[in-house]
Amino acid sequence: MRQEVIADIERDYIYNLVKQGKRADGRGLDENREISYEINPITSADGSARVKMGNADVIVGVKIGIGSPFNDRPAMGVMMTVAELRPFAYEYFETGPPRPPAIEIARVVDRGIREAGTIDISKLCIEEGEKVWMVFIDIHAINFDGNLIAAAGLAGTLALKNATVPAEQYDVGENFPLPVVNYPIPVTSVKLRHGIVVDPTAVEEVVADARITTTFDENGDLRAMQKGHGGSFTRQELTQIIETNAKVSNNIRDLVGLKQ
Amino acid sequence: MSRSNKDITVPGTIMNPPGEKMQAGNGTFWNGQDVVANIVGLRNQRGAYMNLIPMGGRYVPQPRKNDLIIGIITDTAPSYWTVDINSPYTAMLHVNDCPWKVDFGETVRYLNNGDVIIAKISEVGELRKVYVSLKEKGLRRLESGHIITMSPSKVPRVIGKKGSMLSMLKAYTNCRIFVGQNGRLWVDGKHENILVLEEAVNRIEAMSHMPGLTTEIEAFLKSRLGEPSGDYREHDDRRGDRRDDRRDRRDDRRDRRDERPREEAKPEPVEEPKEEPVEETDEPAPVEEPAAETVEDTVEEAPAEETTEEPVISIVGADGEPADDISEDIKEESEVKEVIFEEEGD
Amino acid sequence: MGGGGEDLTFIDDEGKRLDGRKPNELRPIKMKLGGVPNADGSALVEWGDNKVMAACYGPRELHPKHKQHPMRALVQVTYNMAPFSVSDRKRPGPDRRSQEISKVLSEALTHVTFVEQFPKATIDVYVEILQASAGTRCVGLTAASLAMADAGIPMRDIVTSVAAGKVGGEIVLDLSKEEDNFGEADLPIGMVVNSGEVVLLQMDGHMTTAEFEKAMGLIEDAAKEIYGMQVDAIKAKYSEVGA
Repeated sequence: MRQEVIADIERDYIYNLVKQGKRADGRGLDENREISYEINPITSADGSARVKMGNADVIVGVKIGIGSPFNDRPAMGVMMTVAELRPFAYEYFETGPPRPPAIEIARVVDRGIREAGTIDISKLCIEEGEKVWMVFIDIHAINFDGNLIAAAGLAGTLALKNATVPAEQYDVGENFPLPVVNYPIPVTSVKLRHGIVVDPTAVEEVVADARITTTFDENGDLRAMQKGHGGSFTRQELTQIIETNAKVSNNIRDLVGLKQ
Repeated sequence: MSRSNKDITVPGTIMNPPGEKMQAGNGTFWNGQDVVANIVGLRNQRGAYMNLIPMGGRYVPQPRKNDLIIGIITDTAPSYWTVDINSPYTAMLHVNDCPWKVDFGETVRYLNNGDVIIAKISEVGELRKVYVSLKEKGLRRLESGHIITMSPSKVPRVIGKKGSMLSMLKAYTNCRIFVGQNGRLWVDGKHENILVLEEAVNRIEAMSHMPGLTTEIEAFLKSRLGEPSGDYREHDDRRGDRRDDRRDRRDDRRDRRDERPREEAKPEPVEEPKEEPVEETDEPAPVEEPAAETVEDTVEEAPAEETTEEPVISIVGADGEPADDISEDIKEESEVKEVIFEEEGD
Repeated sequence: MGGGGEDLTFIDDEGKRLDGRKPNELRPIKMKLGGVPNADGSALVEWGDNKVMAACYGPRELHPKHKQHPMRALVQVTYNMAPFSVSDRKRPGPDRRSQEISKVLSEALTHVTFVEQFPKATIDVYVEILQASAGTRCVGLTAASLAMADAGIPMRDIVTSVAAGKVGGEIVLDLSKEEDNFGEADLPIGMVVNSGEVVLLQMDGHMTTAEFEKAMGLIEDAAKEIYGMQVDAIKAKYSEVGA
């Protein structure tokens, strides 16, 4: 991926602001951008959601079909998450098959959902050993402005919550809501030389020293974590990040109504 | 405040009344029969020239305009640097165009990747090979500050008529501001004020096609920042309108004069805005309007209500004080060189 | 193009189609500029159950260098369907159909663009089908044209696109998904309404030459209407009440 051209003075500007507890867009260090969301904007999907965080805009569509189960779990449904970073959404994305950044986004979102047990895959068996429901989660960025993992993770969770298994389309019974419990919400932070900020913009991501995503479930427990970029975090920083991000995650949970 | 959109053109809009002969100016082309718009723009007719003020578009440096721009060094070679100028075309800064004596291979000692410069477009060759220069006073590397990126087509609105919008932004925000023609603004000041400035720029971009913009922006600035500093005098649209009326009447007289026999023409007095000794920018002297007779059919690229003839640029020197006034270098936006005669379509 | 659907009455005795439309009636269409702030220009078109966005980036530097044309810009349109846009999930990535559509859309838009103004550059237009319901290439071309205008790309004119087809033996305008599944012919057209130039033309199925002429007539009339909507959508961006 070609990198956005960031001037040195801009980098300094951002770092110096963080020293003062400020950010280029006026937010506080622990402040998430304004979030808006839409449930089921895409009727061709079996469940969908669109999430905007500031200018970051992503649609996640869930498609449910029939496939074969894994050999070692013959009565369990299957789940798969794919992300595409298409040049439609950002000047610096390139055409071609998903490269490691896109793959990482998909896998981290997937991990949060899988480890939270969001989809009750035990209820997705049609014929043991032969046919199970396969849930595809497709992440489609509309406008990239940083923090795609968190925006896609939130959209994915919302899409799953509102998804319907299209049994009638496949003549295997009546449609039923996708069985979901426990909604994970990822929060990403980056280290900007002198401090750590939540919900980075694209520019903040480019100049970040290190990045970390923490995915929380409804009890505030961790279900997935991922460090990205080079750079490093200290023990104390990690403890602080987890504490801050748990709060942010909870606020988002309230905002979008994902409390049980 | 709303505006009828009947002056907005789309590609394919026929600009001249049927049968009337016009010259295809900026943003238009001649299809063999009519002058036709080729962009989304605002109609801006001056005499027989039909020009459009573009509503969008990326920055493409034009030859002989010698724009002042803000560039970012992206590559360093032994005898030149590659400069990103926010354009489909990258620029080259050759060591010969620098104020320093740079030995071959020593370029990295002076400028490095990521450095920001105020530079002048010195040459635009064939196939858009762009050269920039640092050789004039005021052109330099920037050491600190913040860059705001905006639509280059809206830059004239941020500067305003004779720099009025820019000086207003400076007076209220107390920021140092340098406007690059390539849609990059360099700013320096208190963070809270920079945030207001960014919002003001966004509003200018969104409302650039509307009249009374300066008043709107002033109201916004006042609501956020209170009274301006120094002896800045408030922008008065009525004063501006009277000036505009005088200008429009002068232009009309000039147009009609062109059609009359020569001896009837009377030279118009130079229109000095006597009742408003506003310091438009940091320059000491207000920019003089040229005597009417010597002026070509100037065709401004801004709406009639708030025209921008001369982009007034403010250079800040190394000590933060205003550097040389380069207003005398600024040429009129003579549209003669941009007229496209009988351009074929595809 | 399939046969089948014998038990469906495509046009009833009152001339109404499956979805209640008359043979020369368009599906409901909504257009709006914007949607992708990162792009130089963008547009959203909702047409029947189609939901399509287009984003234009350019002119900008063209990589790789060997693709650069010394005298003009390339116009490169990429048509892509989101995996969730269709009934049976589409595997992400370009398939042959998408590549073909990308090619004909690029050619259509190149024809009206002043490419000589930007030597060596590229004008990239990305058409994303978020929800598909027949006629996506027409919706895509209509949206792409808007996105390019929004980006300030100099063009001779706007390109408008719509399809006609044959269902139940009748020539009808703007096939719906059901009609398309069982229709006997499909004719997507892209044209410049003001000059009448046809810049995109594809056809598959079975039509007599007389049927073709009838279809073109329906298309030309509808294109005028769609063109009016495109112009309105552009102007709507500039007639908002000030902040």
